[in-house]
Amino acid sequence: MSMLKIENLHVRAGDKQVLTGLSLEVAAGEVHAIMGPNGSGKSTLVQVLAGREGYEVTAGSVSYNGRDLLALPPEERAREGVFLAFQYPVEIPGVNNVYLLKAGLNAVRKHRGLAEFDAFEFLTLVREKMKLMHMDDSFLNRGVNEGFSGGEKKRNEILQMAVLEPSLALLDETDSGLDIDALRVVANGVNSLRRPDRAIVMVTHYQRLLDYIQPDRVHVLSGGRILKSGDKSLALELEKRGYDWVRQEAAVA
Amino acid sequence: MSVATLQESRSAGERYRAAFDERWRGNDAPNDALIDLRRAALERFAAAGFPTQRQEDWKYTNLRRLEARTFAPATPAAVSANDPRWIANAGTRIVLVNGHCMPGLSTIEPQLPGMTLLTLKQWLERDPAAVAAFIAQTSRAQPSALEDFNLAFFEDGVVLDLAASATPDQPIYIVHQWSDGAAQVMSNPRVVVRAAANSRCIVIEHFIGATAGESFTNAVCEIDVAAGASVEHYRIQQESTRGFHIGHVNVRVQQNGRYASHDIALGASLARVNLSTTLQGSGAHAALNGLLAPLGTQHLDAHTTIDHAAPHTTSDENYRGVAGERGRGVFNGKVIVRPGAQKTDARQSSRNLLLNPGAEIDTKPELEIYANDVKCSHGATTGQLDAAALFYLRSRGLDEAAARALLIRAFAESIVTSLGSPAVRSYLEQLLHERYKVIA
Amino acid sequence: MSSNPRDESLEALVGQKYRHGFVTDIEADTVPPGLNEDVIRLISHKKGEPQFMLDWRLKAYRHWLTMREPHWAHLRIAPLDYQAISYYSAPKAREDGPKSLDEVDPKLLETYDKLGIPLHERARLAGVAVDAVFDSVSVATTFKERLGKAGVIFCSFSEAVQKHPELVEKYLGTVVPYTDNYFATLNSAVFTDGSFVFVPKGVRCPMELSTYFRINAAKTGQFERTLIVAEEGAYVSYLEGCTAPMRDENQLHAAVVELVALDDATIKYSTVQNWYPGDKEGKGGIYNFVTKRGACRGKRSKISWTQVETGSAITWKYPSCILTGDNSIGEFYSVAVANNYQQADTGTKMIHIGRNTRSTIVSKGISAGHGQNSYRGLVKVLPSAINARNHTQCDSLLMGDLCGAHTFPYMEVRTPTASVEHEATTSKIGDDQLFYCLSRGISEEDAVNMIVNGFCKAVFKELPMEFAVEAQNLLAVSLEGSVG
Repeated sequence: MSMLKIENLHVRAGDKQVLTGLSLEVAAGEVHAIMGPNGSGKSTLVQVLAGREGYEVTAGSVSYNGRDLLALPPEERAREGVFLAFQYPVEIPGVNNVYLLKAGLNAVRKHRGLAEFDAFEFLTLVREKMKLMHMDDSFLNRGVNEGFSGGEKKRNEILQMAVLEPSLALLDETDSGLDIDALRVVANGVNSLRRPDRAIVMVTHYQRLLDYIQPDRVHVLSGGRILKSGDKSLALELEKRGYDWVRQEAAVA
Repeated sequence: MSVATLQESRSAGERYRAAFDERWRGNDAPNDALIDLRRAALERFAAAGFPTQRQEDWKYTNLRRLEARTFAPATPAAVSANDPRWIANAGTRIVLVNGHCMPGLSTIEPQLPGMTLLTLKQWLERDPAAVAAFIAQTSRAQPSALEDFNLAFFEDGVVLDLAASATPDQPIYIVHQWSDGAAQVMSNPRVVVRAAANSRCIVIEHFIGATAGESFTNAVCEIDVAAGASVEHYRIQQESTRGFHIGHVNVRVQQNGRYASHDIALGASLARVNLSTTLQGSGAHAALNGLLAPLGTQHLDAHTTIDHAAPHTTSDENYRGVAGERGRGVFNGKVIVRPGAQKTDARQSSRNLLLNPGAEIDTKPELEIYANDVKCSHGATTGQLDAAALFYLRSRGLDEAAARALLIRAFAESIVTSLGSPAVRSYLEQLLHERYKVIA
Repeated sequence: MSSNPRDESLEALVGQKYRHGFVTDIEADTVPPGLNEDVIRLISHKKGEPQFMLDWRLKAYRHWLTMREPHWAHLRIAPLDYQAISYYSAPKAREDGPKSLDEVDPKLLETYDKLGIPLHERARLAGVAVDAVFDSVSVATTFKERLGKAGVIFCSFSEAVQKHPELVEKYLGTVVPYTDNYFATLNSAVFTDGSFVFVPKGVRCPMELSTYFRINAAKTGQFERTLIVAEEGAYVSYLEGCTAPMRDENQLHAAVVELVALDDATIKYSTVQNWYPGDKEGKGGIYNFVTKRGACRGKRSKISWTQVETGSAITWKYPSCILTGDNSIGEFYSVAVANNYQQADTGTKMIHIGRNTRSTIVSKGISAGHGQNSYRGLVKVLPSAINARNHTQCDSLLMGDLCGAHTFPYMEVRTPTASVEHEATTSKIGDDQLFYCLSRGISEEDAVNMIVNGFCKAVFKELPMEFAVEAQNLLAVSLEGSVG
């Protein structure tokens, strides 16, 4: 059974119809890449899955482990194991990174019927995960994303993912704004989090990320719908030929 | 009831003239070398009356409720020798109850090196002429009616003198508190801080209200920061929500001196602080931080003036307001750059949060600039919590109420993170944590 | 002054004087100075007004007698003697007034030619209809026919009272009531003329409308009143310009402008104010005490004020928007100059009442010489104004060390979903900016002009094209010799 099943999803943002009948199925253990030109609706898709306000679902459904995902508030989705790594993580001055992580983790653990971590257990866990992301202790006591460089923000997102251990991770352009070294760190982080019971959906512009994180499936999103799906060779073809041929092919069909 | 109605029919000037005659007659009067100064101040107050909203400076704050009442000068009263509300380990403690210093509750002996700490009463007894001279010298050209009111009625306070280069190793912690039974009484304390050249100190003023009964605090604080000296001044106002609180802080900073203020308004039914800083010497710097956090039906008003009267002076002001329930916050910050005060650098920021319908924030950041080679800027915003931040926290599993509370606290606490006293900082963090636990 | 070569090169430019300071020698019908009910009756009688107008004027006058001159602004105002002012002065004309431009006194046509505002319909401003107000009366209105075909009424206020009394009665005083403030109330009692614009439902006014105000007679006050109504879906852009002769005494100009925008209507109101500012020592000049207010009554209506205030000894005006209609928009773009001994206390009020109302304020204040320039603005968000938005940007430029730049913003917010932002900066022309221009071969005065114009750009781009260039030139003249 699919972990995530999106059927005929129509989404409007303001006056604009962004998604126009998108369908997608993702099973546990799979890594999917969603590619597409600017404005095709990639970010909208993951924002809607995470529960951001400001979007109106006008038709279609999303089921997650058999439940209606769209009916849940954002924090419920997070506790159920949905995680969004933001393209532009917001800076929250005055809110401590470590505080946020601990509050989030304990909310998730409580939801799963697990005992909450005390400060010691928590720090032990976080330090271990931080090593994975090549982050030093100073990160913990800074405000959430406050004054972080683009690369630090992205690493922080993956750190949060590592700590919260989601079952469905949505990575929104996690590669954008990273130099090659930072990209490698982030990709290694993601790869180490691949598990048979975890699904990952990556949104990206470029094939570059897929050199590091090998996807099982690649989808082309354009004009609010998935026009073509294939294995990782599709990404290479897109890299060579651009998106226009996919659109033309879809128009003919 | 009928007595109250009778009283209200008389003007504030007449009512307080009667209180004045009552207080300073008989045995008290001959001891008071200041009686002429006091009498003149009373008459100026009587002529001016309480400020009204027709005065630009009082546009947003209505004192009718204060004016309608008549408060009697408060007398000393016994309180617990270890009040749990006192901030632990804050520093050398001086406790004023109902405006009167209580040596038994204080920890001022032995005196720290380089520092002379007296009660105002002691200073009056030892050298009344010096007190009169100091008051005459620090009086402003046009004292406000309520400062005059304090001068007419003040009884006690704290006088802190720092010798040149003195750096006491702990803050001076001044507690202004009401005794439990205090009702319909007023206190007009005065604090004087004179920091000689290159000295350095932290002064904490902590205003704690009574559990019941209406009270009126009208406090004056005069601070002189000599060349190269540094004074960090905290003002933590936690009067009872039935209390009235008016504060006047007048600061003069000389060459390369530094004054930092942390003005935290949490209590009182109606509070107003006038914080006026004059940078008189080149290189002088003022940093004003403030938090206004009205809840319930509180009305909390901060009026600051930074007067750049000399070239190469700098100021940095950062006030935040968080208004919840039916609370109202007022911030009026004026920056003046005098003719010739070139190379002034003044920055001011006022950021405000409205937590719910019914709350109100009024801000008025003002610049008055008479010199051209200056850098002055101010920014003011009023709005609600950042939706993106709220979503981010929820997407990490925090429920909405917890996420809101977290963001509200983070917003308010940003003012206290810069405090030099760890004891006060953790005290305030705890306080804000409690305050916004339920509001979200 | 200083030996800085920059100062000298700029001082050399001071030579250019106020260009509109001449006097037209024309026989005028002027009422003797003084103010009482008889003078008001006389004004109303001279204009042949219906009873409702006289009644309204008298109510205003009686109310005015109970008021006191306001002194809260950051201004020094020499006392005004309201009994020494003549409240009516009109160039002598035939009994029934000119029927067409051909019948207008050639001296008047010549005056407007000299001011660069030709009243011939084929002249330079061929795309702009002009109403010319000379002292107390409108002397000519161009393009009336063409506008009439589109359904637009554009005429002098006096004519509107005669021909469209029902519209005047319906809207007069509904935005600025006769009790509003000291100068608006005085205006309500004694106003003599002004412009009237009515754009009916669905009509986009086919050309720019403008009024040109000229004070000529000595010892008079000018009290004009303008009323613009845009019905549902209508659009109109209106511009006013003002000049006066150079005289040693101060003359009072107390105008009132009322704008009404219904659903989906847009009114764009631009002002290029160049009243005589007084001489270099601060002698003479116009007191420009004006009340301008627009009511965005309709949903999605929009009122946009743009002003370039270079003239007047004292300017006291706060063009405002009452944003009642849901989703309505208010804008205020201002350049104000205070050079020599000029004083300006100007800004705006944005009152947010409807949901999703938005306002933008951009104020650029330039102070030079001994000039004192204050921005004073109110943003008020009432509890009903859910999701209201305001952004205010308020910048001051100081040229010389004897002038002043002041900022007095008031923000009163009573809606948690509102967002109100105010930013203000104060600076002088940066040495590095100037040096950069000079090092690229640009002359000193051109560099200053460029920098000042760049400073004002956000406002100039809001002006109708025909006037943007004029405004830039005016600014250059107003500031000549003022950098220090």
